[in-house]
Amino acid sequence: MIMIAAMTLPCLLAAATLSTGVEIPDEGVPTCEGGMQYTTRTEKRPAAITNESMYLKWKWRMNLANPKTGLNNAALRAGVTKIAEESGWKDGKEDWYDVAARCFDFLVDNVAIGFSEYDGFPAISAWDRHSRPMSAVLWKHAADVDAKYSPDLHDKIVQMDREGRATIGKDFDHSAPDWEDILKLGFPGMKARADSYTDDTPFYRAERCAAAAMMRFLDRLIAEAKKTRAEIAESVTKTSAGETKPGRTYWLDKEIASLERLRVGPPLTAFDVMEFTMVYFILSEPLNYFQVRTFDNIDVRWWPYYQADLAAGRTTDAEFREDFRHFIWQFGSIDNYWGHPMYLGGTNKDGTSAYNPLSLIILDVVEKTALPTPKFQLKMAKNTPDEIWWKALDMLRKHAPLCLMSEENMARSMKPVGITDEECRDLLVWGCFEYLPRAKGNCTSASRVMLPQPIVEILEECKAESAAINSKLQTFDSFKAEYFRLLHANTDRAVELVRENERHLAEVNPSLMLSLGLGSALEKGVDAFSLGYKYNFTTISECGFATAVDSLLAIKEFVYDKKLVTLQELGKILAENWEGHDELRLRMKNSKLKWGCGNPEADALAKEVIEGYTSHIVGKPNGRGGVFVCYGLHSRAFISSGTRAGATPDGRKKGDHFSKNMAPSVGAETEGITGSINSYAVIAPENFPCGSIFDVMIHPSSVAGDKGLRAFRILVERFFAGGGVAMNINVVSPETLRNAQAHPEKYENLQVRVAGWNIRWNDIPRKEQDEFIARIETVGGGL
Amino acid sequence: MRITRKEFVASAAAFAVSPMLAASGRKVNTPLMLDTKRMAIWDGPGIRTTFFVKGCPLKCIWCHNPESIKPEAQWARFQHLCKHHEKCTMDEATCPTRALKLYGKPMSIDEIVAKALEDKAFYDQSGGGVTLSGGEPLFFWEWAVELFKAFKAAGLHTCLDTSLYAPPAAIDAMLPVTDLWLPDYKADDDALHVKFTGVSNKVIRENLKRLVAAKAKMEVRCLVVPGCTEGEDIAARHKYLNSIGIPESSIVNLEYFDYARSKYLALGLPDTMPPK
Repeated sequence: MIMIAAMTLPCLLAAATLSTGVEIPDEGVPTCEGGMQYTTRTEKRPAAITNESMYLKWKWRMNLANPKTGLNNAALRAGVTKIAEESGWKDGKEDWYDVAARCFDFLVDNVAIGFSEYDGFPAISAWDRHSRPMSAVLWKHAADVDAKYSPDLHDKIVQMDREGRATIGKDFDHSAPDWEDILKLGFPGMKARADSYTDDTPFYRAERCAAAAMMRFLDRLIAEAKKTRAEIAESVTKTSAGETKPGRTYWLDKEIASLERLRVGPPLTAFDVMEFTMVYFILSEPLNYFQVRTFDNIDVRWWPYYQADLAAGRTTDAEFREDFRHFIWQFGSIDNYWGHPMYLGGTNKDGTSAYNPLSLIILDVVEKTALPTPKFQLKMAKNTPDEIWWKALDMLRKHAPLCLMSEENMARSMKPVGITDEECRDLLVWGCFEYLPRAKGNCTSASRVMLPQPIVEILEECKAESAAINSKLQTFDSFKAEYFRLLHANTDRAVELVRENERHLAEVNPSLMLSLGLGSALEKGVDAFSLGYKYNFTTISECGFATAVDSLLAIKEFVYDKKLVTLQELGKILAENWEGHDELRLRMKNSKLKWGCGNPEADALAKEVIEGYTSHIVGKPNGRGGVFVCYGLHSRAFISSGTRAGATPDGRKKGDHFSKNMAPSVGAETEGITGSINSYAVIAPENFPCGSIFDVMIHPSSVAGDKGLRAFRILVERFFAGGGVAMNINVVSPETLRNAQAHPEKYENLQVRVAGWNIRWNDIPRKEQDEFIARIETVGGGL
Repeated sequence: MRITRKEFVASAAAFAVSPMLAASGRKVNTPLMLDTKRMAIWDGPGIRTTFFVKGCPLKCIWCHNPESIKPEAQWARFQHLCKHHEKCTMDEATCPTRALKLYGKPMSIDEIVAKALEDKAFYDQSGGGVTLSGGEPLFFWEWAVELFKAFKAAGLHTCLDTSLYAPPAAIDAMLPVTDLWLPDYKADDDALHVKFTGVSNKVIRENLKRLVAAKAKMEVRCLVVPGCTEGEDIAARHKYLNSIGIPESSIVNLEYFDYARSKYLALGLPDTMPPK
């Protein structure tokens, strides 16, 4: 979930630095403590690729395209910069659609491409997700668009950010084409559909131009694949025994045949679908700067192709597994921090489960491949077959990148924004854990509001010995009322700024590929991403939920009930980051009156905070003809936002992380996993129409063996029964994590889940590792 | 609930004296509670909450809950965590490194039942319930009967994790309110039993027969401690249990773990645990 606009966060600054075209040094870049950029890029790149496993691992971590076929990334960035600078947009002589289409044309025609005997999918020179070519143009252009329509918008957004109240940005990450539709059309069908709209408007001109570029790209791929195949066929390698053997053309043969089919029609085979998906991904994400936030309901969508392949003798179970292994390795290599998503299962129109035999094959390959990314969301319902339950839970015990989601509660959550029952039956899962009606909705992740900030602001005012505020806050209820007053002021402000910030998204970055892939956008003649769906939602995420609740509880307990400190004193103490008051800090930190342990008082306040927050946002009109919603997740902003925030009354020191997503604070889960699940049940799914996530830590002994697996299922089912939508599960012991800290070399494959995706333990900062350990120690378990 | 030492002393004074235990000089009846473990899946069927009492008449050298032996409250200081905070108030809540822990806190039957009911939905779905463990719950059997009555009144499945080192009256009183017994049979050779637990197994064997006679549901646990109670004694235990009518399907051998060494150190007790 990358939001970029104000560009003031340290982590975003790091991203911006990397987006200036500076080539990443071979020794890699340091992991960003701000949290956005985990990286295996710290690994030393190999001097040469000599086998399949090396190729798959490094394919998207270095330039493995053939330099003779086109330009490298720096040259591509320079090229689009030149196009933008020489365009007539600023003078009003040229529409940005036309400029964007020319940039896309340039990139598609000039990006270097490559093929290998080791793989069945293309490589490109624009491999670096931190330095996509269009980022050289986009953010400067975004600033120009803002200046054109709202000259003071940027300053207002920066001010909100500096004050610690909210971050706001333009989001081009949350979109997906209508996969069902475009798999039926194929590339030629998509082009024919675009060409059928002959109006001479900037939008249609750009779409026709993009469609033509798409087909040229296929031509380039086919020509280069054939060339590479010929070279491989002519090459001979010497074995260690001194014998010579010809190059292996298996993958190239397969890929050329597939690309040639895709050049003239829709995908025919399951491998064609993978190839199609990969080519669409390349065109959209690296080249058009639009993330493809799901590859769809792959078991359901791919099943007919797989069945037809088997029936026609075109593939075997083993061959499909190998194809799919290579497919998911593409995204394992890209190693996006969010884990590239696709999902499984669902419910058919007749109420039966949509899981099929391919679901288990896919899960099996995912388990054996043991990559932290891509990630797979699994729709769970009462009709979900037992074998899926047991397989998924067993994989989760082994840290597989799966997320279990309740179909029933996803549907419940969508009701406040008017989604129909049939639309709810077939929700498209994307991103971290988000979902929307298939091909009818998108949802930008436009802002995060810091829930603890009003508390800090009230205490700052109290510290200043303001008689007015101190006399006003005689009771905890009055403090709470003041908290909500400020929180609502912040959310109102965020809503207003986001609305303005999103009015001209299409003029900033037209979604050329996405619009080709969404019939409703073409029909309406509007950009798919910004306006083209039936439901154009905008989300404002919470940040620091449990930190805020626990801080309010601490004020109630220690200021109003026990009277150990006054508001004025607490304000001064927090301003000095608890200096000289460590005993009080520890009392407040270690108090059992926290959210997440089943305490009724804490649960009631948590409900009040969430409902007070979301009810002020959900349903308000946004700037794209849709409405605002709230996410109960914030990616990894608990790190970046917490790092910049002052001390809070829950015992948190200045700069410490906020609580994570909708999880309790570290150390609060004193009643174990069942206690925290009970607490979470007070948060109704309707608060978060497009998605929410509850992070849990489970000790391995609690889910060990067959008995443990049954208990594990009941935990998840109870979570769903309480209204939970998605569970982010870590099954790991503190002993294992401590050992992994001490001996990282022995735990290279240890994965943990961070916020909807898996990450290698060794790739997360020490401070976050310590929090993982503290949480599982609090939750407890063992014999 | 966290309490300070001062609060503990005040509350401990309110405890009544058990007639049974008064003779032994122990001034406890209602036990202090050591811990509550939710999501317990190894203490009986389904998902359970296990409550641990403090106080045990045995002193097993391998005890993995050494803090449960004395019925009185005990402070533990985990040395590896302790930074010798200069303003140490011997208060769990303000120990900056969580090195201090007070073992043994009062908890009323109502509080225990209320705590147990928090996870009733998990028990109902999994066929679980509550388990009383320790320490030795039957050390406080009159109280345990009352507690189990309250559990039953609340519709909860009850398990009793016990050494069975208790008077027959305790067994008789607990039978109607205990759904599943989880007795230990620690050694068949009485000399070994005395050597390693401090008490004879004669009472335990009689109580096992008593449970069989009453057709009580049970799962007998035989801990296998390397170098102490393994090999021949295991076979002898199974043979004896079978001979009194306990089938193999109701006997489980438990693996021994020596994870509790840090607790001996924290309590200032000599570490008697055999190596694993």
